[in-house]
Amino acid sequence: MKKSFVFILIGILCVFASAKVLFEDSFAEETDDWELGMTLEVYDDCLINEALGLSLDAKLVGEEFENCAISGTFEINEWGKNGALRILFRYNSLFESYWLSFFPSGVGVHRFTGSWESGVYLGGEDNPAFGSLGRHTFRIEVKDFTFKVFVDGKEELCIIDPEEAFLVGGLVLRFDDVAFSFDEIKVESL
Amino acid sequence: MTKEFRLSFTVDLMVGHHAWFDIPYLLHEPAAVVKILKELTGINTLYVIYGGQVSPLEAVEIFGKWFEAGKDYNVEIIPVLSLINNYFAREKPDLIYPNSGSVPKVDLRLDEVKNEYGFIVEEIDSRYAPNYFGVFEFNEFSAATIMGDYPRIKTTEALEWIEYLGSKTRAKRAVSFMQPWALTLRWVKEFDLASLDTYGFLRDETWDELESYTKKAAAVFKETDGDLIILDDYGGELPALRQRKAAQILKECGVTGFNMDFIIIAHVLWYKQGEDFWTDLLSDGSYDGVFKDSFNEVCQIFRENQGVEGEVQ
Repeated sequence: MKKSFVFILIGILCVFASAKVLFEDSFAEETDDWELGMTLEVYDDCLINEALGLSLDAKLVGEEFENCAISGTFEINEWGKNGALRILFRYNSLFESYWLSFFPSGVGVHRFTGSWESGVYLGGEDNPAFGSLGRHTFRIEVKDFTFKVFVDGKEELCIIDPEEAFLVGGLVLRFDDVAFSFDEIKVESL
Repeated sequence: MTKEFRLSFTVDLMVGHHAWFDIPYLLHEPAAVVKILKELTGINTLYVIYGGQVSPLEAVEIFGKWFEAGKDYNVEIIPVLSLINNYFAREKPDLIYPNSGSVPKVDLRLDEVKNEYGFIVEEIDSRYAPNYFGVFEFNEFSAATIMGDYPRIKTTEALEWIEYLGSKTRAKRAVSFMQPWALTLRWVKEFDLASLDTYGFLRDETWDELESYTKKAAAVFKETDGDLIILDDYGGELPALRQRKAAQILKECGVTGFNMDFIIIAHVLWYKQGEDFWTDLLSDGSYDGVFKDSFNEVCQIFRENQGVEGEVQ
Protein backbone atom coordinates (compact mmCIF):
# COMPACT_ATOMS: atom_id res chain seq x y z
CA MET A 1 0.00 0.00 0.00
CA LYS A 2 2.77 2.38 1.00
CA LYS A 3 4.77 1.43 -2.11
CA SER A 4 1.92 2.10 -4.54
CA PHE A 5 1.28 5.46 -2.87
CA VAL A 6 4.90 6.42 -3.55
CA PHE A 7 4.56 5.42 -7.20
CA ILE A 8 1.39 7.47 -7.57
CA LEU A 9 3.07 10.44 -5.92
CA ILE A 10 6.08 10.16 -8.26
CA GLY A 11 3.71 9.94 -11.20
CA ILE A 12 1.85 13.07 -10.12
CA LEU A 13 5.09 14.95 -9.61
CA CYS A 14 6.33 13.90 -13.07
CA VAL A 15 3.16 15.18 -14.66
CA PHE A 16 3.48 18.50 -12.90
CA ALA A 17 7.19 18.75 -13.59
CA SER A 18 7.01 18.07 -17.34
CA ALA A 19 6.36 20.93 -19.70
CA LYS A 20 3.01 21.08 -21.36
CA VAL A 21 3.10 21.29 -25.15
CA LEU A 22 1.12 24.36 -26.13
CA PHE A 23 1.68 24.06 -29.85
CA GLU A 24 3.63 21.71 -32.09
CA ASP A 25 4.03 21.29 -35.83
CA SER A 26 6.32 18.95 -37.70
CA PHE A 27 5.02 20.24 -41.04
CA ALA A 28 3.80 16.82 -42.14
CA GLU A 29 1.12 18.66 -44.09
CA GLU A 30 0.01 22.24 -44.63
CA THR A 31 -2.66 23.12 -42.12
CA ASP A 32 -4.71 26.21 -41.52
CA ASP A 33 -2.73 26.83 -38.32
CA TRP A 34 -0.40 29.08 -40.30
CA GLU A 35 -0.86 32.02 -42.61
CA LEU A 36 1.95 31.52 -45.07
CA GLY A 37 3.66 34.03 -47.35
CA MET A 38 3.51 33.60 -51.08
CA THR A 39 6.41 31.30 -51.79
CA LEU A 40 6.36 29.40 -48.53
CA GLU A 41 5.34 25.80 -49.03
CA VAL A 42 4.86 22.75 -46.88
CA TYR A 43 6.07 19.53 -48.44
CA ASP A 44 8.50 16.72 -47.71
CA ASP A 45 7.69 17.24 -44.02
CA CYS A 46 9.16 20.74 -44.02
CA LEU A 47 8.21 24.36 -44.33
CA ILE A 48 10.26 25.46 -47.29
CA ASN A 49 11.28 28.53 -49.22
CA GLU A 50 13.67 28.44 -52.15
CA ALA A 51 13.23 31.99 -53.43
CA LEU A 52 15.73 34.66 -52.43
CA GLY A 53 14.99 38.36 -52.36
CA LEU A 54 11.68 38.14 -50.51
CA SER A 55 10.41 38.79 -47.02
CA LEU A 56 8.03 36.04 -46.04
CA ASP A 57 6.01 35.42 -42.91
CA ALA A 58 4.58 32.26 -41.45
CA LYS A 59 2.12 33.53 -38.89
CA LEU A 60 0.67 31.19 -36.32
CA VAL A 61 -3.04 31.89 -36.27
CA GLY A 62 -5.03 32.50 -33.12
CA GLU A 63 -2.39 31.53 -30.57
CA GLU A 64 -0.89 33.73 -27.88
CA PHE A 65 1.71 32.77 -25.34
CA GLU A 66 3.05 34.27 -22.18
CA ASN A 67 5.89 32.43 -20.45
CA CYS A 68 6.99 29.59 -22.67
CA ALA A 69 9.83 27.85 -24.44
CA ILE A 70 9.89 28.00 -28.22
CA SER A 71 12.12 25.49 -29.94
CA GLY A 72 12.68 24.27 -33.46
CA THR A 73 14.97 22.90 -36.12
CA PHE A 74 15.77 24.46 -39.46
CA GLU A 75 18.27 24.21 -42.25
CA ILE A 76 19.75 27.21 -44.02
CA ASN A 77 20.34 26.49 -47.67
CA GLU A 78 21.36 29.90 -49.01
CA TRP A 79 21.60 33.44 -47.72
CA GLY A 80 20.72 36.43 -49.88
CA LYS A 81 22.46 39.77 -49.51
CA ASN A 82 20.12 40.87 -46.72
CA GLY A 83 19.44 37.47 -45.28
CA ALA A 84 17.90 36.86 -41.87
CA LEU A 85 15.84 34.05 -40.40
CA ARG A 86 13.76 35.31 -37.54
CA ILE A 87 11.50 34.05 -34.80
CA LEU A 88 9.15 36.83 -33.72
CA PHE A 89 7.84 36.06 -30.25
CA ARG A 90 5.29 37.85 -28.13
CA TYR A 91 4.14 39.10 -31.51
CA ASN A 92 1.46 41.79 -31.46
CA SER A 93 2.28 43.21 -34.87
CA LEU A 94 5.37 43.23 -37.04
CA PHE A 95 6.84 46.16 -35.15
CA GLU A 96 5.33 45.37 -31.80
CA SER A 97 7.21 42.27 -30.79
CA TYR A 98 10.57 40.70 -29.97
CA TRP A 99 12.69 39.35 -32.81
CA LEU A 100 15.24 36.62 -32.46
CA SER A 101 17.25 36.82 -35.69
CA PHE A 102 19.77 34.45 -37.20
CA PHE A 103 22.18 36.16 -39.58
CA PRO A 104 25.15 34.79 -41.51
CA SER A 105 27.28 36.44 -38.82
CA GLY A 106 25.45 35.31 -35.68
CA VAL A 107 22.28 35.81 -33.66
CA GLY A 108 20.62 38.78 -32.03
CA VAL A 109 17.46 39.86 -30.25
CA HIS A 110 15.61 43.10 -30.99
CA ARG A 111 12.58 44.75 -29.48
CA PHE A 112 10.21 46.86 -31.59
CA THR A 113 7.57 49.07 -30.05
CA GLY A 114 5.65 50.53 -32.96
CA SER A 115 7.89 51.16 -35.94
CA TRP A 116 11.12 50.11 -37.56
CA GLU A 117 12.81 53.13 -36.01
CA SER A 118 11.72 52.01 -32.56
CA GLY A 119 13.91 48.92 -32.82
CA VAL A 120 16.33 48.37 -29.95
CA TYR A 121 19.06 45.77 -30.07
CA LEU A 122 18.81 43.94 -26.77
CA GLY A 123 21.80 41.71 -27.31
CA GLY A 124 23.39 39.12 -29.49
CA GLU A 125 26.36 36.97 -30.24
CA ASP A 126 28.61 37.24 -33.27
CA ASN A 127 29.44 33.76 -34.36
CA PRO A 128 29.26 32.69 -38.01
CA ALA A 129 28.69 29.12 -36.87
CA PHE A 130 25.13 30.05 -35.86
CA GLY A 131 24.31 31.24 -39.36
CA SER A 132 26.32 28.69 -41.28
CA LEU A 133 24.64 26.75 -44.02
CA GLY A 134 23.15 23.54 -42.73
CA ARG A 135 21.01 22.37 -39.87
CA HIS A 136 20.51 24.25 -36.62
CA THR A 137 18.37 23.97 -33.54
CA PHE A 138 17.16 26.79 -31.37
CA ARG A 139 15.29 27.22 -28.13
CA ILE A 140 14.09 30.46 -26.57
CA GLU A 141 13.00 30.35 -22.97
CA VAL A 142 10.76 33.33 -22.36
CA LYS A 143 10.08 33.95 -18.70
CA ASP A 144 8.58 37.31 -17.84
CA PHE A 145 11.14 39.65 -19.42
CA THR A 146 14.15 37.36 -19.37
CA PHE A 147 14.95 35.51 -22.58
CA LYS A 148 17.43 32.66 -22.71
CA VAL A 149 18.50 31.65 -26.20
CA PHE A 150 19.99 28.25 -26.95
CA VAL A 151 21.58 27.57 -30.32
CA ASP A 152 22.50 24.07 -31.40
CA GLY A 153 21.92 22.83 -27.86
CA LYS A 154 24.02 25.39 -26.01
CA GLU A 155 22.89 28.47 -24.11
CA GLU A 156 24.28 31.48 -25.94
CA LEU A 157 22.29 34.48 -24.73
CA CYS A 158 20.50 35.60 -21.62
CA ILE A 159 18.73 38.88 -22.26
CA ILE A 160 16.56 41.05 -20.09
CA ASP A 161 14.17 43.64 -21.51
CA PRO A 162 14.39 46.52 -19.02
CA GLU A 163 11.43 48.22 -20.68
CA GLU A 164 9.20 45.19 -20.08
CA ALA A 165 7.42 45.91 -23.33
CA PHE A 166 5.34 42.83 -24.11
CA LEU A 167 4.24 40.15 -21.70
CA VAL A 168 2.10 38.20 -24.12
CA GLY A 169 1.80 37.72 -27.85
CA GLY A 170 1.76 35.38 -30.81
CA LEU A 171 4.42 33.68 -32.88
CA VAL A 172 5.64 34.48 -36.38
CA LEU A 173 8.47 32.99 -38.36
CA ARG A 174 9.91 35.62 -40.66
CA PHE A 175 12.29 34.89 -43.48
CA ASP A 176 14.15 37.72 -45.18
CA ASP A 177 16.11 36.84 -48.30
CA VAL A 178 16.95 33.30 -47.25
CA ALA A 179 16.38 29.86 -48.72
CA PHE A 180 15.69 27.34 -45.97
CA SER A 181 13.69 24.41 -44.75
CA PHE A 182 12.09 24.40 -41.33
CA ASP A 183 11.61 20.93 -39.85
CA GLU A 184 9.66 21.43 -36.67
CA ILE A 185 8.57 23.95 -34.12
CA LYS A 186 7.27 23.47 -30.63
CA VAL A 187 5.96 25.79 -27.92
CA GLU A 188 5.93 24.45 -24.38
CA SER A 189 4.98 25.89 -21.06
CA LEU A 190 7.80 26.79 -18.73
CA MET B 1 17.60 17.18 -78.91
CA THR B 2 16.81 20.07 -81.20
CA LYS B 3 13.38 21.35 -81.98
CA GLU B 4 11.97 24.17 -84.04
CA PHE B 5 12.17 27.49 -82.16
CA ARG B 6 8.70 28.26 -80.85
CA LEU B 7 7.22 31.45 -82.29
CA SER B 8 3.94 32.00 -80.53
CA PHE B 9 1.19 34.41 -79.72
CA THR B 10 -1.34 34.25 -76.92
CA VAL B 11 -4.95 34.88 -77.90
CA ASP B 12 -8.39 34.92 -76.34
CA LEU B 13 -10.55 31.99 -77.44
CA MET B 14 -13.12 34.50 -78.75
CA VAL B 15 -10.56 36.90 -80.31
CA GLY B 16 -11.95 39.53 -78.01
CA HIS B 17 -10.60 42.90 -77.01
CA HIS B 18 -11.29 42.58 -73.32
CA ALA B 19 -8.82 40.89 -70.99
CA TRP B 20 -11.52 39.65 -68.65
CA PHE B 21 -12.81 37.08 -71.16
CA ASP B 22 -16.40 38.28 -70.94
CA ILE B 23 -17.31 38.30 -74.62
CA PRO B 24 -19.43 35.15 -75.12
CA TYR B 25 -19.19 34.91 -78.92
CA LEU B 26 -16.48 34.79 -81.54
CA LEU B 27 -15.57 38.29 -82.66
CA HIS B 28 -13.38 37.02 -85.50
CA GLU B 29 -12.98 33.66 -87.14
CA PRO B 30 -10.00 31.64 -85.93
CA ALA B 31 -9.16 30.63 -89.50
CA ALA B 32 -8.70 34.27 -90.50
CA VAL B 33 -6.60 34.97 -87.41
CA VAL B 34 -4.30 32.00 -87.91
CA LYS B 35 -3.90 32.70 -91.62
CA ILE B 36 -2.93 36.35 -91.13
CA LEU B 37 -0.56 35.66 -88.24
CA LYS B 38 1.12 32.86 -90.14
CA GLU B 39 1.63 35.02 -93.21
CA LEU B 40 2.80 37.98 -91.19
CA THR B 41 5.25 36.33 -88.86
CA GLY B 42 5.61 32.65 -89.67
CA ILE B 43 4.42 31.62 -86.21
CA ASN B 44 4.24 27.95 -85.35
CA THR B 45 2.25 28.12 -82.08
CA LEU B 46 -0.81 29.80 -80.61
CA TYR B 47 -1.77 29.70 -76.95
CA VAL B 48 -5.57 29.94 -76.94
CA ILE B 49 -7.08 30.85 -73.59
CA TYR B 50 -10.41 29.73 -72.22
CA GLY B 51 -11.52 32.13 -69.52
CA GLY B 52 -15.11 30.99 -69.10
CA GLN B 53 -16.44 33.02 -72.01
CA VAL B 54 -18.96 30.25 -72.76
CA SER B 55 -19.96 26.87 -71.37
CA PRO B 56 -17.40 24.07 -71.34
CA LEU B 57 -19.09 22.25 -74.21
CA GLU B 58 -19.33 25.39 -76.36
CA ALA B 59 -15.69 26.11 -75.59
CA VAL B 60 -14.65 22.66 -76.74
CA GLU B 61 -16.46 23.25 -80.02
CA ILE B 62 -14.87 26.66 -80.55
CA PHE B 63 -11.47 25.18 -79.78
CA GLY B 64 -12.25 22.89 -82.72
CA LYS B 65 -12.15 25.89 -85.05
CA TRP B 66 -8.71 26.82 -83.73
CA PHE B 67 -7.36 23.31 -84.13
CA GLU B 68 -8.76 23.07 -87.65
CA ALA B 69 -7.13 26.36 -88.61
CA GLY B 70 -3.93 25.30 -86.89
CA LYS B 71 -3.85 22.17 -88.96
CA ASP B 72 -4.42 24.12 -92.18
CA TYR B 73 -1.58 26.54 -91.49
CA ASN B 74 0.79 24.27 -89.60
CA VAL B 75 0.38 26.13 -86.34
CA GLU B 76 0.37 24.19 -83.08
CA ILE B 77 -2.57 25.07 -80.85
CA ILE B 78 -1.99 24.98 -77.10
CA PRO B 79 -5.28 25.25 -75.24
CA VAL B 80 -4.98 27.04 -71.90
CA LEU B 81 -7.45 27.12 -69.04
CA SER B 82 -7.76 30.22 -66.89
CA LEU B 83 -9.44 30.28 -63.50
CA ILE B 84 -11.49 33.25 -64.70
CA ASN B 85 -14.96 32.04 -65.56
CA ASN B 86 -17.78 34.41 -66.38
CA TYR B 87 -20.01 31.60 -67.56
CA PHE B 88 -19.92 29.82 -64.21
CA ALA B 89 -20.37 33.14 -62.43
CA ARG B 90 -23.73 33.37 -64.18
CA GLU B 91 -24.79 29.72 -64.31
CA LYS B 92 -23.05 28.04 -61.37
CA PRO B 93 -22.03 30.74 -58.91
CA ASP B 94 -21.26 28.13 -56.25
CA LEU B 95 -18.15 27.27 -58.22
CA ILE B 96 -16.80 30.81 -57.97
CA TYR B 97 -14.59 31.76 -55.07
CA PRO B 98 -16.44 34.52 -53.17
CA ASN B 99 -15.16 38.05 -53.77
CA SER B 100 -12.43 36.77 -56.05
CA GLY B 101 -11.52 40.18 -57.36
CA SER B 102 -12.65 42.24 -60.28
CA VAL B 103 -13.28 39.17 -62.39
CA PRO B 104 -14.86 35.94 -61.13
CA LYS B 105 -12.54 33.01 -60.61
CA VAL B 106 -13.42 29.39 -59.94
CA ASP B 107 -12.27 27.78 -56.72
CA LEU B 108 -9.90 25.10 -57.98
CA ARG B 109 -10.16 23.21 -54.71
CA LEU B 110 -13.74 22.14 -55.44
CA ASP B 111 -14.36 18.72 -56.92
CA GLU B 112 -17.09 20.05 -59.19
CA VAL B 113 -14.71 22.63 -60.62
CA LYS B 114 -12.19 19.88 -61.28
CA ASN B 115 -14.90 17.84 -62.97
CA GLU B 116 -16.00 20.72 -65.20
CA TYR B 117 -12.46 21.58 -66.23
CA GLY B 118 -11.56 17.90 -66.51
CA PHE B 119 -14.41 17.55 -69.00
CA ILE B 120 -12.92 20.29 -71.17
CA VAL B 121 -9.48 18.72 -71.08
CA GLU B 122 -10.76 15.24 -71.82
CA GLU B 123 -12.95 16.38 -74.73
CA ILE B 124 -10.21 18.49 -76.28
CA ASP B 125 -7.77 15.64 -75.89
CA SER B 126 -10.05 13.06 -77.50
CA ARG B 127 -11.17 15.34 -80.32
CA TYR B 128 -8.03 17.31 -81.19
CA ALA B 129 -5.10 15.58 -79.41
CA PRO B 130 -2.94 18.61 -78.60
CA ASN B 131 0.75 18.09 -77.85
CA TYR B 132 0.63 20.51 -74.93
CA PHE B 133 -2.18 21.51 -72.65
CA GLY B 134 -2.06 24.67 -70.57
CA VAL B 135 -3.66 23.46 -67.37
CA PHE B 136 -2.86 26.69 -65.58
CA GLU B 137 -2.85 30.38 -66.44
CA PHE B 138 -0.79 32.20 -63.86
CA ASN B 139 -1.50 35.88 -64.45
CA GLU B 140 -4.93 36.28 -62.90
CA PHE B 141 -4.17 33.81 -60.15
CA SER B 142 -1.04 35.73 -59.25
CA ALA B 143 -2.70 39.12 -59.23
CA ALA B 144 -5.63 37.87 -57.16
CA THR B 145 -3.33 36.10 -54.71
CA ILE B 146 -1.20 39.19 -54.21
CA MET B 147 -4.30 41.33 -53.71
CA GLY B 148 -5.75 38.81 -51.26
CA ASP B 149 -8.74 38.16 -53.53
CA TYR B 150 -8.04 34.47 -53.90
CA PRO B 151 -7.26 31.90 -51.23
CA ARG B 152 -3.80 30.60 -50.66
CA ILE B 153 -3.48 27.40 -52.64
CA LYS B 154 -1.68 24.72 -50.73
CA THR B 155 0.97 22.77 -52.56
CA THR B 156 -1.09 19.61 -52.31
CA GLU B 157 -4.16 21.38 -53.73
CA ALA B 158 -2.24 22.77 -56.68
CA LEU B 159 -0.68 19.38 -57.33
CA GLU B 160 -4.12 17.76 -57.22
CA TRP B 161 -5.37 20.24 -59.85
CA ILE B 162 -2.44 19.63 -62.15
CA GLU B 163 -2.54 15.87 -61.64
CA TYR B 164 -6.29 15.65 -62.19
CA LEU B 165 -6.36 17.72 -65.36
CA GLY B 166 -3.12 16.16 -66.53
CA SER B 167 -4.66 12.72 -66.15
CA LYS B 168 -7.35 13.66 -68.67
CA THR B 169 -4.95 14.25 -71.53
CA ARG B 170 -1.98 12.67 -73.21
CA ALA B 171 -0.54 16.13 -73.76
CA LYS B 172 2.44 17.51 -71.90
CA ARG B 173 1.61 20.14 -69.30
CA ALA B 174 2.06 23.81 -69.96
CA VAL B 175 1.60 26.98 -67.96
CA SER B 176 1.04 30.43 -69.43
CA PHE B 177 1.98 33.82 -67.99
CA MET B 178 4.45 32.15 -65.64
CA GLN B 179 5.28 34.70 -62.94
CA PRO B 180 8.85 35.40 -61.81
CA TRP B 181 8.04 35.21 -58.09
CA ALA B 182 6.65 31.71 -58.37
CA LEU B 183 9.54 29.90 -60.03
CA THR B 184 10.58 28.10 -56.88
CA LEU B 185 7.19 26.64 -56.04
CA ARG B 186 7.17 22.88 -55.88
CA TRP B 187 4.01 22.46 -57.94
CA VAL B 188 5.26 24.66 -60.75
CA LYS B 189 7.91 22.05 -61.46
CA GLU B 190 5.14 19.82 -62.81
CA PHE B 191 4.96 21.84 -66.02
CA ASP B 192 7.02 20.91 -69.07
CA LEU B 193 6.50 24.14 -70.96
CA ALA B 194 6.23 27.61 -69.50
CA SER B 195 5.31 30.76 -71.34
CA LEU B 196 7.08 33.38 -69.28
CA ASP B 197 5.49 36.67 -68.28
CA THR B 198 8.28 39.17 -68.90
CA TYR B 199 6.17 42.31 -68.87
CA GLY B 200 7.74 44.07 -65.90
CA PHE B 201 11.27 43.63 -67.20
CA LEU B 202 10.53 45.18 -70.60
CA ARG B 203 8.50 47.95 -69.02
CA ASP B 204 11.23 48.87 -66.56
CA GLU B 205 14.19 47.84 -68.72
CA THR B 206 15.51 45.70 -65.90
CA TRP B 207 17.63 43.57 -68.17
CA ASP B 208 19.72 41.93 -65.46
CA GLU B 209 16.54 40.72 -63.80
CA LEU B 210 15.17 39.44 -67.11
CA GLU B 211 18.41 37.54 -67.57
CA SER B 212 18.24 36.04 -64.09
CA TYR B 213 14.58 35.07 -64.42
CA THR B 214 15.07 33.50 -67.82
CA LYS B 215 18.07 31.47 -66.73
CA LYS B 216 16.26 30.19 -63.67
CA ALA B 217 13.17 29.33 -65.71
CA ALA B 218 15.26 27.52 -68.28
CA ALA B 219 16.61 25.38 -65.46
CA VAL B 220 13.13 24.53 -64.16
CA PHE B 221 11.20 23.84 -67.37
CA LYS B 222 12.09 21.73 -70.38
CA GLU B 223 10.78 24.46 -72.67
CA THR B 224 10.25 28.18 -72.16
CA ASP B 225 9.20 31.09 -74.28
CA GLY B 226 9.32 34.76 -73.36
CA ASP B 227 6.90 37.59 -74.10
CA LEU B 228 8.10 40.46 -76.33
CA ILE B 229 5.35 42.76 -75.12
CA ILE B 230 4.99 46.11 -76.94
CA LEU B 231 2.97 48.23 -74.50
CA ASP B 232 2.33 48.84 -70.86
CA ASP B 233 -0.98 48.39 -69.08
CA TYR B 234 -1.73 52.12 -69.22
CA GLY B 235 -1.45 52.62 -72.96
CA GLY B 236 2.21 53.57 -73.24
CA GLU B 237 4.39 52.10 -75.96
CA LEU B 238 7.46 50.04 -75.14
CA PRO B 239 9.81 51.18 -77.91
CA ALA B 240 11.01 48.73 -80.51
CA LEU B 241 14.55 48.67 -79.16
CA ARG B 242 13.28 46.93 -76.03
CA GLN B 243 11.78 43.97 -77.87
CA ARG B 244 15.03 43.58 -79.79
CA LYS B 245 17.07 43.72 -76.60
CA ALA B 246 14.70 41.37 -74.77
CA ALA B 247 14.77 38.86 -77.63
CA GLN B 248 18.55 38.82 -77.53
CA ILE B 249 18.65 38.28 -73.76
CA LEU B 250 15.95 35.64 -73.83
CA LYS B 251 17.77 33.65 -76.46
CA GLU B 252 21.13 33.96 -74.78
CA CYS B 253 19.59 32.73 -71.54
CA GLY B 254 18.10 29.60 -73.02
CA VAL B 255 14.48 30.14 -74.03
CA THR B 256 13.17 27.78 -76.68
CA GLY B 257 10.77 30.32 -78.11
CA PHE B 258 9.24 33.77 -78.20
CA ASN B 259 5.72 34.83 -77.44
CA MET B 260 3.57 37.94 -77.61
CA ASP B 261 0.37 38.39 -75.65
CA PHE B 262 -2.38 39.70 -77.90
CA ILE B 263 -4.93 39.68 -75.11
CA ILE B 264 -3.42 42.63 -73.28
CA ILE B 265 -2.51 44.34 -76.56
CA ALA B 266 -6.10 44.20 -77.83
CA HIS B 267 -7.41 45.24 -74.41
CA VAL B 268 -5.13 48.24 -73.91
CA LEU B 269 -5.52 49.46 -77.48
CA TRP B 270 -9.30 49.23 -77.17
CA TYR B 271 -9.60 51.01 -73.85
CA LYS B 272 -6.62 53.37 -73.85
CA GLN B 273 -6.14 54.21 -77.51
CA GLY B 274 -9.60 53.65 -78.97
CA GLU B 275 -8.25 51.14 -81.45
CA ASP B 276 -9.73 47.84 -82.57
CA PHE B 277 -6.55 45.80 -82.90
CA TRP B 278 -8.06 42.68 -84.43
CA THR B 279 -10.18 44.49 -86.99
CA ASP B 280 -7.17 46.57 -87.97
CA LEU B 281 -4.94 43.53 -88.33
CA LEU B 282 -7.42 41.30 -90.06
CA SER B 283 -8.72 43.90 -92.49
CA ASP B 284 -5.54 44.04 -94.54
CA GLY B 285 -3.00 41.79 -92.85
CA SER B 286 -1.09 44.52 -91.07
CA TYR B 287 -1.48 46.48 -87.88
CA ASP B 288 -1.29 50.21 -88.59
CA GLY B 289 -2.14 51.68 -85.19
CA VAL B 290 -0.18 53.84 -82.77
CA PHE B 291 2.22 51.09 -81.71
CA LYS B 292 2.98 49.80 -85.17
CA ASP B 293 6.73 50.34 -84.86
CA SER B 294 7.07 48.01 -81.89
CA PHE B 295 4.58 45.57 -83.34
CA ASN B 296 6.44 45.40 -86.63
CA GLU B 297 9.72 44.94 -84.79
CA VAL B 298 8.36 41.84 -83.09
CA CYS B 299 7.05 40.53 -86.42
CA GLN B 300 10.50 41.08 -87.86
CA ILE B 301 12.15 39.27 -84.91
CA PHE B 302 9.80 36.36 -85.43
CA ARG B 303 10.56 36.20 -89.16
CA GLU B 304 14.29 36.21 -88.45
CA ASN B 305 13.85 33.21 -86.20
CA GLN B 306 11.81 31.06 -88.53
CA GLY B 307 13.43 27.71 -89.02
CA VAL B 308 15.87 28.35 -86.21
CA GLU B 309 16.35 25.32 -84.05
CA GLY B 310 16.26 25.62 -80.29
CA GLU B 311 17.93 23.36 -77.81
CA VAL B 312 15.38 21.47 -75.73
CA GLN B 313 16.52 20.11 -72.40
